[in-house]
Amino acid sequence: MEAARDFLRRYGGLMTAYIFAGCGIWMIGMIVLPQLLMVEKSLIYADKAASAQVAMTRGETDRLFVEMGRAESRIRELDRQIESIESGEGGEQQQSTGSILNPFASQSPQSALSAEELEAEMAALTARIETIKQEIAENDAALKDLMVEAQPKYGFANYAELIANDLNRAIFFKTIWSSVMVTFVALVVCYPIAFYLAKAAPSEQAALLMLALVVPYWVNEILRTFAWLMILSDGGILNSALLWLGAISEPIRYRAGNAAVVIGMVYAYILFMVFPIYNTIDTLDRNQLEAARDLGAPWWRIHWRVVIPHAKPGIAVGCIMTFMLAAGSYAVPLILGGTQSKWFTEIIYDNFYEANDWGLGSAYAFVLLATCIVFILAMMKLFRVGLQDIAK
Amino acid sequence: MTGRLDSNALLRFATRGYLILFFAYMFLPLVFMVIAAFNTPGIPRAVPFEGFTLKWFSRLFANEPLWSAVLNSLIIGIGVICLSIFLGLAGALLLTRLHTQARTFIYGVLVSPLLTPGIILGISTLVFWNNLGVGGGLLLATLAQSTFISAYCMLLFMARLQRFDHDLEEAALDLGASHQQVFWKITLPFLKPTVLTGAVIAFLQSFENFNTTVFAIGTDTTMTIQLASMARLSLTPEVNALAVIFIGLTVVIAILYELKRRAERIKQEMQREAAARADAEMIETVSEPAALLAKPQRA
Repeated sequence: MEAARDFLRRYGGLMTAYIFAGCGIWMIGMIVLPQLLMVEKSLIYADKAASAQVAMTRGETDRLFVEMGRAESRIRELDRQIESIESGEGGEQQQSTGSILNPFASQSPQSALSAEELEAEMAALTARIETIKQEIAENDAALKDLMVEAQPKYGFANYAELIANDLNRAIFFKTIWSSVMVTFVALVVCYPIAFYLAKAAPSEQAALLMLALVVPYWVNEILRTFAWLMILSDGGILNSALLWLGAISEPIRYRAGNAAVVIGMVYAYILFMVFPIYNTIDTLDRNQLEAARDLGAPWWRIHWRVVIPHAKPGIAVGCIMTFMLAAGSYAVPLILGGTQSKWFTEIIYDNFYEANDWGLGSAYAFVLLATCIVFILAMMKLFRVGLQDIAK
Repeated sequence: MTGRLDSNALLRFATRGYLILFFAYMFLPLVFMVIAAFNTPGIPRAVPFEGFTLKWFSRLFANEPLWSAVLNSLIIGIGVICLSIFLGLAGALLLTRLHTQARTFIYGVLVSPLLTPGIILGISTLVFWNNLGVGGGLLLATLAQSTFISAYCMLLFMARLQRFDHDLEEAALDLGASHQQVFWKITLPFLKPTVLTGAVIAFLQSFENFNTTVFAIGTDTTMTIQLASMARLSLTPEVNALAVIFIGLTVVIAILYELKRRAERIKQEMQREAAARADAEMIETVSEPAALLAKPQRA
């Protein structure tokens, strides 16, 4: 309340309204509520067997109605025939109507059926209509129960599906594992670069290299990934080069497994690893390095005992960003992945736009989100950094 | 002694080798992209080079669906700029003035979209608006992207506001200025460079976004979506031609940026000399926004 008064005093009514309304809409309308509704959606499921049964029962009822209609019109016709027989008129008319209704039944119209036989058929049909009516009533009763059963319900069935579905579960774990791999490789590749840019390079060169590092990132992610498609495809540049060198005798199928996706992702997200690490190493006092060197520490110990402890928050942020981007990447696996290397995000997309099962898709999406949150918390714990350090 | 020297030389050699390898890794893919754009074969291929052609560029310019998708991207981009600056500024003003415990919580919530996978933002926006009867399309794509792009803008504004002297606002209020006058004449002019930077970053983020957009866009397309389907389904060097345009733009901007940086450094040195000569009281950094702008890039 006091805070609100402070805002009113400083910014006036109009500005205060803008600030609070803006933050409110953003926080609640764009972040919190959508996420909550996604979770809600993920808890809604429809029993698939029950809905299939509903469809089947409905079809059966329709079929019964058609049969009943046929029987009724046959009865009407029989009625007419009986009437005409009783009034003594010939079979001429009977022949024509009979042939329309059932050409096979009236092959010998001259040997007109006797009234008794017609009556018997009519009785049989009437009995049949009765049973059909009964069956329809039974179906309707069953349908009511089934409809209740098939109605969307709250529950954890969508999550249970992920646990039960061997293929999707395997893809989920593969995605997580591959993302950890991407993060690790990116860290190993980027740390030396970040250190060199921050401490070793002459400042003029560092500024240029920095620019060189950013330039590829102004090019669209899809295009960057596409470049790797050219390199890693079966008849691509890498295979051609290796074949030409005689290093291999047959093209390697990088895209069959995960290799292509991992390489493409390291390339796509490297900047998110370099910059956080660079920023923290940049704040390290150069004198500390000098002191360590003067005291006789070899270069690797300087890194292990001085630089890396100082760069911890940067490393944590880099790992979090890279992991999050890799696990949530849809573009790279879409373009670089083969049929064998599906990514979890692709499964989520298919749930939404191919299977049209939003509940299941939301559940999968929430599992992905939860995984990222767990990873972030683990990293924060491991490197002992707070949220304030992360969002810089 | 010599052993130490040798290992130092080795280290330097290794560093150099690593740098070359690293930047080759960064740039060779782009080089191949460019070469393939001018190569005649119908599938994008850099080697062997079979002949120079510009036909992929003319094909690209004739690609109607792509250009209508570019138009969509521009519309979304402009929407995202407006919304993100609007929301980002509100968030920054709130958080810089708020000192209660709620601050950490609000900060955490507002920054969380940056740490959320993009597809989650797209999905949650889609599900939320679908409940209200709004289907996927340009509007939802704009909203979904703004969710996290606003956070970028907010962080930029917060960084800028940290260097803002709030006493100036107080002084103006004491001297009888209205709140609106204070905002339009003092706060906003100070934030103006950040508004521009924020707009550029918001547009670039929006233009290149794929993960969030692909869920929120419904049956419409943006340039990035169109590009992804081109890269996946119809493998032609048109994609490379577009890449050449992008890379060309990027290089031009990079060169301009570098020139500007150099010019600024020279100006800065001149200012430093002038400052050394001038009386310390004469320097009023705030009345001289250029001096604030010309902060050194690297400490």
